[in-house]
Amino acid sequence: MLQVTRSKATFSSLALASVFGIGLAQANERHFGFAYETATLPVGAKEVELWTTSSMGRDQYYSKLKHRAEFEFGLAKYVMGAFYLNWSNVTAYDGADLVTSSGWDGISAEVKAQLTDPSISPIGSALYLELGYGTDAFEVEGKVLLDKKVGDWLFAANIVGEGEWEAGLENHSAADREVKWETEEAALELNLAAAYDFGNGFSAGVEFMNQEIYTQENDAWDLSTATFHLGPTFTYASKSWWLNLTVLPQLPAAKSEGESVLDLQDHERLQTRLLLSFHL
Amino acid sequence: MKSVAPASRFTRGLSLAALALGVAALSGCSVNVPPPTENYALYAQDHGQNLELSRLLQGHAMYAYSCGGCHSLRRPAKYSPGEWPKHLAEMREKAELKADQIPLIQDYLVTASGYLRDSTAAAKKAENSPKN
Repeated sequence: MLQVTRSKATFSSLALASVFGIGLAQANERHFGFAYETATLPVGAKEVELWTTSSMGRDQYYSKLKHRAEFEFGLAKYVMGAFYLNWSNVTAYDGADLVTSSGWDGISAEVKAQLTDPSISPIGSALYLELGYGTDAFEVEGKVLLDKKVGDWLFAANIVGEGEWEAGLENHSAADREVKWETEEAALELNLAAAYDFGNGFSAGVEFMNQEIYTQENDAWDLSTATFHLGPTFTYASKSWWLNLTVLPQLPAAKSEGESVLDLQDHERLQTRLLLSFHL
Repeated sequence: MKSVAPASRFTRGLSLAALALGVAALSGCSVNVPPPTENYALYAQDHGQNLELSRLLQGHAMYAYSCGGCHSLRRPAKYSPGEWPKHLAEMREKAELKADQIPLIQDYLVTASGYLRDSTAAAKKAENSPKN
């Protein structure tokens, strides 16, 4: 069953790539899978980014493939925007059997404004805002992005704040159904990353991610989990396209749900992200 | 539920301290593609190119904006002055550069490449020359 799900996912990504593959050209390179850099597309430039993130291993069998198809465009000088289509496939153990579900997760939009350019300023900086709207939840994510080039080294740091609101139906009668958005959870995230440019389009490095999830109970915010991920990242960039592969295994958590040193209820043992991008 | 909140605060503090230290250290490092100075313009004039510093600064800014949005900026000395026009010609269509932008970027890159390469060579020569 899992094999079938993966095949579908790979096929859909490749199909999108082949649809847009005509006229491949330069694209906005990323050197990390989870950390963002500050560069913005020039005005008028457009590109497509295809994401696949595999999250595997919880207390019970769990495998999720999350996909995003992103359309990016330069909005103004040093400002870019993007729209995403999000969908996923999950295979998990329900206590008796492995159950696979596939579905549409919703749409997202982002805007990124670069404040300083890392190549010509002491440090690069940008602000990033992403809004996500799903079938039953609404998400807001803000990031402060920093990066710096030192010779052939690239360093990046992101401070991320994220809030999620879930739709609760106040009244179930069709005539006057009222949707009340209830706060579900909030997350704070810190990403640190470094990569070395080996030339000829190859770069490799390491990424670190610290994620803290807070849940609201009785009007008070409680720290639910605090996890760490650390792993390698690889990028190949040609003149017409680029791809990045990042593998982030989970390190022992500072706070977890359950008795394991890893948090395997809300997070997975291993996250792997593949990004493929090309210009339109 | 296993709760180790103090450790979380400690690790978060440690992460933010590492971030602050890293940002402070890195912001002190030299800029990767520094803006041209008056020496660049003098170098261009010595080589028969009457280029004002203002034009070179415009070219530098255009290079950072038009090229840096899509890929890591190549340092000007990475390619020789003779090689840059060929690379720019390859990128012209892909970067959707306008006709008046190419000469600006090319003037900056060709001048910067020549100046930086010659400066490095002169410094090495001075370093290796016997001292009296």
